[in-house]
Amino acid sequence: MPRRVIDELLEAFPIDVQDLYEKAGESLPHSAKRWWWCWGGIAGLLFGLQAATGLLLAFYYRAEPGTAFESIRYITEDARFGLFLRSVHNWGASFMVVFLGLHMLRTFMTASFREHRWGTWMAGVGLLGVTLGLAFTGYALVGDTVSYWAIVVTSNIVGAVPLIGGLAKQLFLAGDSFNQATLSRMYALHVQIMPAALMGVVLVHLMFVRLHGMHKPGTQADLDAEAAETAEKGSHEFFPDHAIAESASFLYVALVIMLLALAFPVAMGLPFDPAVTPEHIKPEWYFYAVFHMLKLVPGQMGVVVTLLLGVALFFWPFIDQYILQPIDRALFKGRLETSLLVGMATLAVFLIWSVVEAY
Amino acid sequence: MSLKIKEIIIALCSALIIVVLGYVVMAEKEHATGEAKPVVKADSAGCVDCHGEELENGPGRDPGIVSHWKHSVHAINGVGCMDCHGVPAVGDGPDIDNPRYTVSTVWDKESGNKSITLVTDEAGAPVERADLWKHEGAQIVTAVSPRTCAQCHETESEQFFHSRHQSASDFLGSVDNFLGRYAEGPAAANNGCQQCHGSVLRVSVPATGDEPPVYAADTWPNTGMGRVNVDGSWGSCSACHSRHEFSAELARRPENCGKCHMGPDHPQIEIFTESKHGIAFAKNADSMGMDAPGLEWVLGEDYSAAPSCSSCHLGPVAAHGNYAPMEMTHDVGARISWTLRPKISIQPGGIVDESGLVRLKEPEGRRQDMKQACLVCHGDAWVDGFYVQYDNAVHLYNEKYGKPSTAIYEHLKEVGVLDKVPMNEHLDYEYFEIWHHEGRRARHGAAMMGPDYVQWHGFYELTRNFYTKFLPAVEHAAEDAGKGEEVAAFVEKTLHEGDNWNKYHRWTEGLNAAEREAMLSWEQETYGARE
Repeated sequence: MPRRVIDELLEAFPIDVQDLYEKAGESLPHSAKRWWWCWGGIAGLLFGLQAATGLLLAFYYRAEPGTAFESIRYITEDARFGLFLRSVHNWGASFMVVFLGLHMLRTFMTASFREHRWGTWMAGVGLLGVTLGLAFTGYALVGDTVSYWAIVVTSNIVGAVPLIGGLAKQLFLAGDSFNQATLSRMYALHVQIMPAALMGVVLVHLMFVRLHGMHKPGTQADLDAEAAETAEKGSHEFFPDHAIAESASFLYVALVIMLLALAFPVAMGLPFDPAVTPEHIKPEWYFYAVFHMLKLVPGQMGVVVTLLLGVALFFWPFIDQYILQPIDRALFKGRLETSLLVGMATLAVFLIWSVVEAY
Repeated sequence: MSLKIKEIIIALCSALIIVVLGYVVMAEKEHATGEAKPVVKADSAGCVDCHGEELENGPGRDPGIVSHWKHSVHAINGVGCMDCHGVPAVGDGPDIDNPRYTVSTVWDKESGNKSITLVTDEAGAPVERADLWKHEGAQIVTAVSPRTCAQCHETESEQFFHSRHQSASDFLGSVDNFLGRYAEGPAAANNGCQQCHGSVLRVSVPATGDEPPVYAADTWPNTGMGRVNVDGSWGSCSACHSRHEFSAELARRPENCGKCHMGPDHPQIEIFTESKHGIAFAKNADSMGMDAPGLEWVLGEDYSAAPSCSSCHLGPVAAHGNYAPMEMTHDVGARISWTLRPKISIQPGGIVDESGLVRLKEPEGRRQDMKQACLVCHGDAWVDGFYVQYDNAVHLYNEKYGKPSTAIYEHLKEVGVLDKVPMNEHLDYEYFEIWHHEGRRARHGAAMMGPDYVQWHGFYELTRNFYTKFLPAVEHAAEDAGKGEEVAAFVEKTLHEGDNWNKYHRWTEGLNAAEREAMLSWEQETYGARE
């Protein structure tokens, strides 16, 4: 590029690159130099993959009961690279949920929500909710039997929420029952409202991370080791060290997603027929555990229990600080972390219910 | 808790999550695709290994056959090779039901009843079938008969046994078969007629030791509907439920029926394609759940966008209006009131067996059953109106073309203008095509609502051939035989019989305005009436 063009661009965009570099950089603890410290970032980058593939799918998708299934069929069977893009989008959704879950597991296990970092945790739980919402509204758009019954069953669950259930169900369905406007409402949620909400909450989440700095996990001995390593080697920098690790990990994950999309491409279901109740009505796998619990605790009570569990997850830092940690101090004299035990037990129940539901 | 321990816990939990979710996703995909695993029973494992595609020392002998079976409902339900190709042991159930033994099938055309009796030798012992042979230590047969299918599918086999499909090979004594076998030549009959009607399967070289029997090449391979099997039974289930996939969907597909019900003499598949039913089917077939299992494809319940052949003629119909659900049948004639095959159409009577059991309802009962299928999608007035139009078309063919041409042709044989040998003279073909080709096309077109087959491929060609080919050929043949006057008088009398001349044939003389008006009034009175 001629020198005078570069000079002109530097004049036109008076950005101090060195300053930007310094602003992006952040000193991280050496404990973050592990690949499972990349999971949150991978989930964020997967959102980028979903946005890119979703944008291309949106060129052909038509959100009405009479056209949705046919447009999905066109994407899957006729459009160039349609099957691949839809398969990547489908697998990408599952991977986004998985990496969000893994990120949550890591932060939970290392108690990263402590030391006044409850804002980061709550924003993270919000991100989980929005991501599951994106996943649900995504497969609700397909216009096949699974998506139709997913909408119907979910609307009934929403309708069972105490006090606001009726109104929420109406808002959810754009009417009293599945109708012409329901799919376009799902579509608006999936491509406009929820992505915007997700980006907003991500900003809040990252803001808390930057304001507090990354949590240094472990015992006093671990913290001492961390300080010694920093004194010896200097800081582990976010940019470029951690950013490169994040990008490389994401590329591996993206490669696995593409291979899965090629080996197990997404299939066409049957177009929905309100008159036909399929033999197996099941949501996507990430809802299996909740679905199983709703079967065990039927009716409005099940919905209430689910809501309470969601609230408990959201306020977990306070439950940990004001209920569990005092127990640890009083009963176990600091030898056990009750929070960790509760977390592992919850994970075990989640996995067992998922397997039972799949089986 | 130290960071090191937490790291180990995180790694273990993460690995557990990935493994469990991997299992869940795969299980979900299996549910979604409905893929079920074939069950290979011990007595069929050797067959699958040797004939299949998974041999260690090279490809199997018949990988296609085993692959078809592996994707079948039979395989998923554990029905293996030996369940069909094996035969029950001696003394395993009544001998007459054991496909190891030969039976004799009798069709009493007077009453319509069919029966089988066990064939015995002089000592009264049952006779084993000629194609039974020993293969890898097991007694098997290659060509499976409906008696084997009947061991599990008793009701379906019973219905099929009493159907017209089962006796499709009875055409072997007909003018069609004479035409194919003698006028055209044996290979034409073997490769043509018998591949639909069925061959009389016979063994040319019996089995010796481990060597299989050799079926006569002019009779095998064959999946004709009414095949006469080596065990003496009639019929081939494989005609519709092609082995080794035995697919209910395949039997429901109109293309399946179209293997035989097509062409110049019975173009049902072409008529269906032309009809509104066929157009709707072409548009909706992919969304009609045609791969539903066995009895789970009920008209009016599981689908109603369009019918296939089996929907109306065989399939189960849901309860609607005042009608109770109608069960599926494997008797293809159970809902047909007219027979459109012969020279002059009739409505065959019902069949009651010796025990008083109704094997075939009377024509009105059969029609009522067909109407029950029609009424899922059509109103009473529509269905009744259709049957008036259909009956009128059949009557028109019978009275204007079928009866007079048959009477004249029989008279020519009687008075010696034509010899007794079938299909050796020009007039034999002119007459044959009137009833066998265009006459059937017109009637089938009306039955299945294919207007072009009623008109241009039907009555138009009937009219052209009757008046400008058949009648002039009759005149010439009679004159050549020196019986011109006598035959002309007979033709005159036949065409004038009753009011036939005025109703059907007078137009040949030309009509003035008043006569045209009178004919139109007669038509409207006759064909516009609903009775």
